[in-house]
Order: sequence, then C-alpha cells, then structure tokens
Amino acid sequence: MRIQPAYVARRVAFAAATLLAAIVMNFLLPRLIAGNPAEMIASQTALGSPEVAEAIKKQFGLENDSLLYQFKQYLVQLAHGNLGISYFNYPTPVSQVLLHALPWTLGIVLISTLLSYAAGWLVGIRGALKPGTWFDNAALAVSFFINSVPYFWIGILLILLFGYKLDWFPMGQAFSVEYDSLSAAGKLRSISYHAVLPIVSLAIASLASHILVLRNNLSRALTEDYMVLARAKGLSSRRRTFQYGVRNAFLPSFTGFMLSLGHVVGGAITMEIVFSYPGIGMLTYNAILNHDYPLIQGAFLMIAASIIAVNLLADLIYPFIDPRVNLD
Amino acid sequence: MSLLEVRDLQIEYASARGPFKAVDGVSFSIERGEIFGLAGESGCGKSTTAYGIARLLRGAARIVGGSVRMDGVELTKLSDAQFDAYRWARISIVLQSAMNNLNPVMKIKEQLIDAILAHRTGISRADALRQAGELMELADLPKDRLERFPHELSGGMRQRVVIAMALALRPELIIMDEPTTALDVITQKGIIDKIVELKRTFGFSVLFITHDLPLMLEICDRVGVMYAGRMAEIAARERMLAGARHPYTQGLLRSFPSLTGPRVRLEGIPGSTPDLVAPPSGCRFRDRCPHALPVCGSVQPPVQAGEDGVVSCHLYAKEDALDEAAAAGS
Amino acid sequence: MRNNRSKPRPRSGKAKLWAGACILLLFAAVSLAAAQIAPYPKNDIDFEPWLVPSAVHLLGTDSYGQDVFSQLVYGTRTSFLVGILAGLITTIIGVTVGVTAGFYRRWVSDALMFLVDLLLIIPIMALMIILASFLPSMGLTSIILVIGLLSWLYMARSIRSQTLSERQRGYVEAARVAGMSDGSIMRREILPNLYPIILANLVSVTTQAVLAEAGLSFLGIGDPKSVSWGTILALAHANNAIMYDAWWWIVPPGLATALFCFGFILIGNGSLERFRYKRGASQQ
Repeated sequence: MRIQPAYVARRVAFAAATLLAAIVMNFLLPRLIAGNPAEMIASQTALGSPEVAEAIKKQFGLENDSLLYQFKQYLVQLAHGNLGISYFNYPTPVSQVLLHALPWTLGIVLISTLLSYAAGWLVGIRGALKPGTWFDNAALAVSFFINSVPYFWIGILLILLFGYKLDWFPMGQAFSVEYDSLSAAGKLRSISYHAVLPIVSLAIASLASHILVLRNNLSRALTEDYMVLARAKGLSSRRRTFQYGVRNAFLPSFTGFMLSLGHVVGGAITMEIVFSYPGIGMLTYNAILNHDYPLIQGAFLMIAASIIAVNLLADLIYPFIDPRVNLD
Repeated sequence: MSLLEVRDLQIEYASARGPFKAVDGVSFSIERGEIFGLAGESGCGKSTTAYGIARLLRGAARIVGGSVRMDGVELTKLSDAQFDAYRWARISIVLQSAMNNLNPVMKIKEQLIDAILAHRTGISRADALRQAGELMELADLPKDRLERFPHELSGGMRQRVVIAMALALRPELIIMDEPTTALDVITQKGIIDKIVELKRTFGFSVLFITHDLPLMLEICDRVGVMYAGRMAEIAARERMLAGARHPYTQGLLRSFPSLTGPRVRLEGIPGSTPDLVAPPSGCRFRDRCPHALPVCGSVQPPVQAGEDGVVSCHLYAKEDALDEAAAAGS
Repeated sequence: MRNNRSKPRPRSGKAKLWAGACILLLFAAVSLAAAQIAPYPKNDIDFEPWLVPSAVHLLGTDSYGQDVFSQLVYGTRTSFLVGILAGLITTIIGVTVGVTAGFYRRWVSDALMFLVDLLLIIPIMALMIILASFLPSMGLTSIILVIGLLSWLYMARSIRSQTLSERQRGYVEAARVAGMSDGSIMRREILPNLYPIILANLVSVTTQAVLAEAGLSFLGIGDPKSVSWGTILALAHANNAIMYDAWWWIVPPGLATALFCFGFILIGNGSLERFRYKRGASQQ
C-alpha cells in the first residue's frame, strides 16, 4: 500500500499542533497558577548563585513583564534544547538530566506495552470466541479487578512476593551495584534481570484494558454480516475467525493501543518510584520532593513529546494495516 | 419433486420475557428454476425462516420443529460437517445491501475465491482467480475491481460482487434477503434485471425476501405472505395480481402504490402486530382484520390448499373444515 | 437442529444494582461515621510500631505506631469524596461539552473538539502532576478540582460521537418540526438516549478519579494533611513496609480501592442491563 503525501502531511501537522499545545500549557500553567514564575524557574536560593539565576532570567526573558516576549524567549530556548538548569542536579541542565532518564522509561514502557498487548490479545480473543465460559468470566473478573487498583499497588505486591519473600528478582534499581565493573554481557544481564519485575508489573497493570478492548472488538466483529456470509460460504472456522473476525477486531484496537501508551506512561511514573527505577518518573518524583520546578516542567515536556512521537509513528504505520484509512 | 420442501417449520427465540416462536408452523416449497417470494412486515419471521433453512440462525434462535428437505434430504438432521457440502455449493445467500456483507479488510478477489478454494479441493489458486474474473463478467463488473477493497466500490457494485459471489459454485438455491434495499431505484432496477437474467442462464431457484410487495410481484413466480410467524397465503404471481384472498395480503397490497395501475389512495393497515411471547388465540390477524368473524377469536384458521394456492383464513374455510376446527378448539 | 447450547437469557440487572448499592452505601456510611467506626483517633501514634494484626489492632500498626485499620477508615472519607465529587464534575463537563459539540456543528465546537483530540494524546497524569505541583497549596478542594477539571476529555469525545449519531435519527428532526427549542431537544430527546453511554463513562471516570487521587498522593502532591488510601500506600512505601513484611499495611488500601471501584462497576453494569432489559421488553 502506498502512502499518500497528503495523509502524511496531515498527521505530521496534527503531531506538531499537539506538541505546540503541550508547550503552551507548559509555559502558561505555572504562570497562571503560581505567583512568580521567575522565582520558580530561576530561583536564586535554589540555584545558590545570583549570576546563574540572572543569566537564566535573561535567557527566558523573565525580566520583561510581557507574556508574549517571555513566550518568544521560551520558544527560542526550547529550540536550542535549553530547558533551564535543574536545581537538584545543579549545575546540570534539565535537558541532560532528562536524556539520561528517558531510555529507562521508554524501555520498560514499550516492552511492557507490547507484552500486555500480546497477552491481552490471546485472552481477549479466547473470551470473545467462547463467551460465558469460566475462562471468559475469570478473564473479565480479573480485568475489572486490575482496572480498580492503582498501578503502583500491583508493583508493591509483586516486590513483596517475588522480591522480598521468594527473592527471585531484585527489589528495585535498574542494575546491580557492581555494574561499572561488569562486562558488556554482564551489564546487559544485570539490566534485564532488574527490569523483569517493573516490566511485568506494568504489563499486568495495563493488561486489563487490552483484554476488554479486544474482547469487545471481536465480539462486535463476530456479529457483522460478513461473518454470517463467511459461515454461509462454508469457510473453515479457523479462516472465519482469523481472516474475517480477528483482522477486523485488530484495526480499531490498534488506535486504542496507541492511546493506551499515555496511560501506561502515567502508570510508569508511579511504578518507577516503587522500583526506584531511574527513569522520568523517578526524576519527576525527586523533582517534586525538591521543588525542582524547571525539572518538573522539563519532564512533562519530555513525556508529552515522546508520546506524540510514538503516536505519529503509529499514524504513519496505520495505512499499511488498514486499507481504508487513506480515503478519509 | 420440489427442490426445497419446508414443512411445519418452527423456530424459537429466547427473549427477556421468555421464549417465543418467530416462525410457527410455516410450510412451503420451491420448485427448480423458480423465484419464490416471501413477503411480510418486518418481524413477521420471513428472514428467520430463510436463515433457518440455510442453518445460519444466530445465538438465541433455534429450530424446534418441522422439516426442511432439499432433494428429499432432511437438512435439519444433518451434522455440521455433512451440511458443509450444502453451504454455498448448493445453497448460497445474498444479504441486505444496507449492511456490510463484505469483509472490509480483504480485497474483492480474496473474498470471491475463498469460497471456491474452500469447496473445490484440488483447484489451483490461478484457476480460482480465473473463475473469479468470469464471475465479475457475469455481474457486469470490470475485472480490475478484483484488486479493490469493498470501500472503494459503490453500494450497487458491492451488491453485484455479492451476487457474483453467490454464483461462484453454481448453487441450486440462492436465498436473497432484501438484496436491493438501501439502493437507489435505478441501481435497484439494474440489479433485479441482472438477477432475473442470471436465473434464466443458470436455472437456479431463488428464495426472495422483501417487504416490497410490488417488486416481488414483478419478478417472483409464486409469493408467500407471512404474518406474525405464520404463513397467511401462498399464491402464484398471476393469482395475486388478479386479487389476493387473505385480508392481510389485500391490506398489504393496498399500502403500496401500484407501479403500473391507476393511482389509488394508499391505505396502511391499522393496528400493530401481536405480541409473540403471548400470542392471541385463534387468528393472529383478527384484531386488524376488517372481516373478522366470531370464530377468528378462538380457532386458528385451517390451512387450505387448492388450485389457487394456499390460504389460511376462516373466510375461505370449507364448512366441514370449519366444523372440525371448531370441534377441536372447543 | 442439534443446537444444544443453552439459550442466553437476558439478565434484569437487579442483583447487580443491589450489590453495588450495598457496597457504595457501606463506603458512604464509613466516611460519614469514620470517628465512630475507627477504634482509635486519627493519626494517633501511641502504639508500638510494626505490630502484626491482632484483636487489638485489626490490621496491625505502621512504622509510626498508628493503627492501620483506623487510618484506613479515615482514608475512606477522602477517597470517597474525591471519587464522587471529581467524578461528578468530570461527568457534568463531559456531558455538556459532548452534547453541545455534537449538536451544534459550528466551527467553535469543531475547534474545541480538535483541541480535545490534541490534549487526549498527552497523558492526563502528567498534566495533573504539573498542575498540582505548581499550585501554591494542595487541599482536598484543589485535588478534587485538578482531577475533575482534567479528566473530561475522553468522555466529551465519546459523548459527542454518540450525540452525532443520535442527531441523524428521525426523532430529533421530528422534535424540531414540532417546534421544540434546541435546549429541550438536547435535554428531553437526546439526553435520555445517551443514558447508557453516560453511565458507562460515569463509572469509569469515578474509578479513575479514586485511582488518580491515590497516584497523586503517592507522588507526594496530594493533600498533606488528610489521610487517603493513596497516602497510606505512599507512607508504607516510603517507610519500607516491604522490608518489614508488613503486608497488613500494603494490601488493605489497594483492596479498598478495588472494592470501591467494584461497587461502581456493579452499579454501572447493573443499570445498563436494566436499561436494555426494559427496552428489550418494550420492543419485543
């Protein structure tokens, strides 16, 4: 299937508009609800150096009262990758702190999402094909339960069980203390070993919505006329189920899959805290504890930008799986 | 022997307020090469009858009595595996054009050949594709549409694809459930003409279902009219055109404008269909019938077959039949 | 025909409604009479820390020597209030925006929905964090507002699309011909038909609100003075409850959220079944 330039342009424009909205909110919200932005973004006491504080105020145009001027300066600094200086990690710039943390978060979020999506598929399809069986009912009950508890609670329980009681996996951190002295393979092993529980926790926490969505989609597809016709044609139940049912159930779920990434990232924030996992979530948590406002803002922007990027990617992949998309 | 013999068919639905019979003792037959029409208001059980014949009933519905014979073979008694030999190869179906009966994510050609490949073991994919091309020609469709997806075709074209598909294995019976509803009049005309033409070429029989009685009288050889799960009247086209006998058929005919005849005032039939969960005793049409007799309230009208067809109404009951029925009812 | 599958029988939903109502009433009663139900005063630290559950302390004590059961009872009030009120705010905004944007297809509403589509991509949790962390102080009211005002996006979208399809139906046209004003068409004709979808959304936003409060409290940007299921978990985590194997401090708050949400889900599913049951009965 060929991709139409107009479609690509539209999706890119939409992503750009979303990013702009995130930037505007990031700029405006602190200025609307907190009294003095200068005190928050370039606090002299927090930075400990009047010169640095002055320099940042100048960069972001904070000495000027015009909101428009400040926004212009903000955009200029953003374009240069300048998000200010982290109070807590002084004098490291916010952008650098974030770039260190991002891979950890992206790693566990993407892997756990793929895992839970795949698992949700298997369970949801089986449930939709055999509705009302004990398997289906159990899957629904578990899904509702998971949807009713905080993400991080699942993480805590898993640590309690598999970390503390059974001692199968480490209780936190992304790698062992002797990480620096390890070989490349050893490092990889250490990282994988530490990532198991966080990834499994996130996957379980986000499993429920995948099960429910896929089950619903497939149940609906199964009642469509083309399913009746497929049966009348005498097609094997295998072909009916997969070529006619599942393929049609998959497409709408794909969009939901991408939207769910936002949820998972939200959940990952608290999950990282539970596991002391050095990603954006942990960073945000420390930033909140230390009133590190530049870092909080930067983290928000980083999260928003990553999700927008992943969504754009999904939009561009979509026409390859759904033949209908290029028309509308 | 008739191609299809339906005798006393009963189909039950489970509903919130208990089971009810959507089809309650329906009998008719279809001859080879005949277009048999099944008419009636929505909910009268005409589609359920057709789906029951093709064993396509969904979830809450099931056949609880009666028989469906094709060439003398009892279809309702066949196992699923045995019935597979009938699916599409001997009985195919064309569903309402309003709904999506083509899989939106598969190319037309895939959907045309998958039935062929499923039934004709030993046929190559290339041969199946060639046959698909021939089918497209039969339905007056350009061959390049084979490579398209359903959404890239107009509603009329999609329906032609479905008709072409129904012919794929040269079945003896094609069930057509409102095949032209939701299409505009001109497209509708084209498709109907095509169906009649194809029938002449291939000699299959058609069970044609619609609520559009004038259309039915145009193309069907014989017509059955259903009301509230029962067959009210069956008559040849000419007999119907000359004047229906059952008061319900008469009312139904009056509620459509005649395409050829003089303009007459349209009359709907006042009242609504009875509750099938707790059906009334006697004739189910009696509350809406302008000719209702006292006996209609208590005795189910006997089915009377004769030269003029079949009618189920006390107005035409022979005296002895009426006495018999009254005796049985009291 | 050999079709021995048992016939699916539509359920009336009554049992579910009752069970759900009982659960929610239980929580309401606990939040109203917290002081009477809790065996010990709020934040009372008079006991030995890390006591395992016993007759004296049903759910043991935490690292500060507080009775966990009492804290849980007091926490119910916060979580219940936040869930109900934030859920209500969300629903009101979501329904209003969704219905008007679906009914009036003018550029204003289209632009609004475009904005909603944009914002939907950004994780709500991140938005809440940035808003909550910049607010000068976080009280219960701020939490309710932050959650309530930020969660309506998805709901507005789903209600709008349903309104759009309702608008195509004949009855709207009929009402207009009959001279009904736009306002009463929306209220009296469209809204009742949206009932199932509103209900489904209400259930989900309320449970989301409870979970969001837990998340914010866990992040340390909740109301520092009040006790909630989220703050209990946050304290448990911060004080290494896992290392002390203090499951009695960890498990109950999570189960409480689960039970609360379960009550809502029961009510939601129950009334949907009831709705379909009555409709089905009148249509057959």
